[in-house]
Amino acid sequence: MLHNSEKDFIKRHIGLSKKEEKTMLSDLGYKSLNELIEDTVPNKILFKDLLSIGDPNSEYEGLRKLKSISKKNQIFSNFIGMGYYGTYTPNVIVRNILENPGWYTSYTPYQPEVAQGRLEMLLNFQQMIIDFTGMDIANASLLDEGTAAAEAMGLSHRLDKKDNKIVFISNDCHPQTIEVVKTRSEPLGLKVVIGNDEDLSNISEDIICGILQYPGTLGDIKDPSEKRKIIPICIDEEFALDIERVSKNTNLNIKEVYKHILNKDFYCYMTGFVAGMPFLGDTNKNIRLKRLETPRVKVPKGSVGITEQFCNIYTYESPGGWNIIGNTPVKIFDKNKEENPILIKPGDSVQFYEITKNEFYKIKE
Amino acid sequence: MSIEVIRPGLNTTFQDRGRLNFYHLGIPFSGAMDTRNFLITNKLVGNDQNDAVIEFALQGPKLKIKQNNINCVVTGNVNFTFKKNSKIYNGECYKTFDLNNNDEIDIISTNNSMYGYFSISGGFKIEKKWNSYSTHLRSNLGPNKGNKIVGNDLLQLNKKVKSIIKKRVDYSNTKIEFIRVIKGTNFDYFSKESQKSFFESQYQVTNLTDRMGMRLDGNKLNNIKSENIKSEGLIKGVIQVPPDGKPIIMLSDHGTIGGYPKIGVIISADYDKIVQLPPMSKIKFKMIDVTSAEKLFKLYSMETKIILDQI
Repeated sequence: MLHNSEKDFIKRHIGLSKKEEKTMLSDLGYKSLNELIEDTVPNKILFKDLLSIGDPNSEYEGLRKLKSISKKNQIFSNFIGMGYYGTYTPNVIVRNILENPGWYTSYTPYQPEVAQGRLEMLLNFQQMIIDFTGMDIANASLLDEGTAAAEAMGLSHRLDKKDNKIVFISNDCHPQTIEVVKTRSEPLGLKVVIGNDEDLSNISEDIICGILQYPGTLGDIKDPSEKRKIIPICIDEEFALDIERVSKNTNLNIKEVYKHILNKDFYCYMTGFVAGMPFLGDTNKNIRLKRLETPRVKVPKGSVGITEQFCNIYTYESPGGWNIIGNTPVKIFDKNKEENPILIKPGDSVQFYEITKNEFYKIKE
Repeated sequence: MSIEVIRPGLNTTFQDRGRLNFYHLGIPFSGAMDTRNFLITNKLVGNDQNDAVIEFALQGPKLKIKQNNINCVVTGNVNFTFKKNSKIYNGECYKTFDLNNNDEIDIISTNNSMYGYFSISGGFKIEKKWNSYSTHLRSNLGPNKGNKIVGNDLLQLNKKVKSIIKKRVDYSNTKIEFIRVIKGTNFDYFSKESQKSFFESQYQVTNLTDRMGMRLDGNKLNNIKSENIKSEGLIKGVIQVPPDGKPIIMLSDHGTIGGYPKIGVIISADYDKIVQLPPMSKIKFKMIDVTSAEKLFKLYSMETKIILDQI
């Protein structure tokens, strides 16, 4: 199967045509290539037999042979931990990324193609991490974890315009990572501060970067980005426009309704509709109602509404069809915060607590 | 170097082509409602195609010019007059005219339409908010601190442009018989009869219409599946149907997320037309497929380009 294409390939990519060869040889005054070689290569080192490397293999055969060799490996579970974990790579990833023939067969099978393939794989991976986490930037490399962390530190240092000297590293990182970072910080003249994740916010000086690890070195999963937002709401009847109807339609008395709202953890799924409005959930099954038959033309700013399994906060006066059960004096969307106008971001956890009308107006001021 | 606002009009704001990249926070694109007229306005006064213009609805502003040699234009279907050297002239849309210090322009009303545009050569001296001159009143974003233009405001102008070329274009805002829509993602939520009557009966634009949305009155659409869906993203032109069965069309300042079923979406080629329908207008919908909608939009954009090229 490969025979013809192989010839083709050689013709296209390697060496000269017969005609060119002839011209060159006649210029040099030789009749054949062998004559030229015999004349130039010392007889002692001239290789006269054929190379004993056998026939070429097809891709399939090659892979099969390599696999049969690698089968001789005995693979045991390891329990080293701290960065050395067993992994499972799904076949679809193996075929399309790691062993994608595109990396090593296309054009010519020489090293830069492989490097290019590896680069593309890394780019895809880090883009996927950005998509998954919502981070502004992510990086992947084939370096070991410690060196990767040190490289990241170096990058932050180079980009740091204020020439700060302090690097924070969480003691939840692998010990080897901490050691590498310590070593690499020396020639840069940086000071490494090691502490708990929580200590990061207690550092008063400017830092170059903070290095956290997820999951932690002992495998514990914390979420360093998770910020619990505690939002005060007033549930006075002046604000709770729909509470009577909610109470009636859910067959719960008003107190029972609020039991399901106040001091409960909600998760922010998304923001939108009006600027910065958080969609929080899930509410208890017993207080899930539909939207209003005809949406209100004006829902007051700060209103807290419920519908289906969600609560939300109307960050601005707007039309809306949710069942309004309270109002918060807190500014959820602040356009003057150029970089970060929203208080509650997707992924945050939010809890409401009750305040009196007096407190409401006080905060509002 | 300014223009004094004697009367602001009903809903007068600065707009450009819209504010991109903030949908995830709940901030819609906004921008001029009628894109074609917006583009024509900028082209006529020789400004950049994304420069800010003044958009007004129904009743426009009355302005007093505080500078000599202002080259300005009004577009849309608009009745206006201007006072030059104490003489009053009837204004003509799509034709630039110049005014001097203490001259006045009185944009009396739009004529059987909603929005009109006013701009001057060189443009207004205003600041971008998040890379746009568009005003989004709901979240107070944009020039003028995100507010409407109000009486006694002084609108600052950019530096005077040196050469002013008088320009005009023949353009009339035509009405179309049908507003064309493609099927919405929840089209099957409505009974067969309602699907039919949506396209056969007439709907009336109610007075609950603004830059955010347009509520319609007409045959009640019968939802047979679920009156609510999980809240999801919206685009302008989407027709949502709340449980009362009366469609609401999402317009440029719409909420970015909605939880009412969507029966259809106004095609982009007809968007400039639908926003111009004043309350009490009667409309009829016609269903077309996505491929035709795309073709029509290409055609519409080409048409716009031809008009702009004439200027």
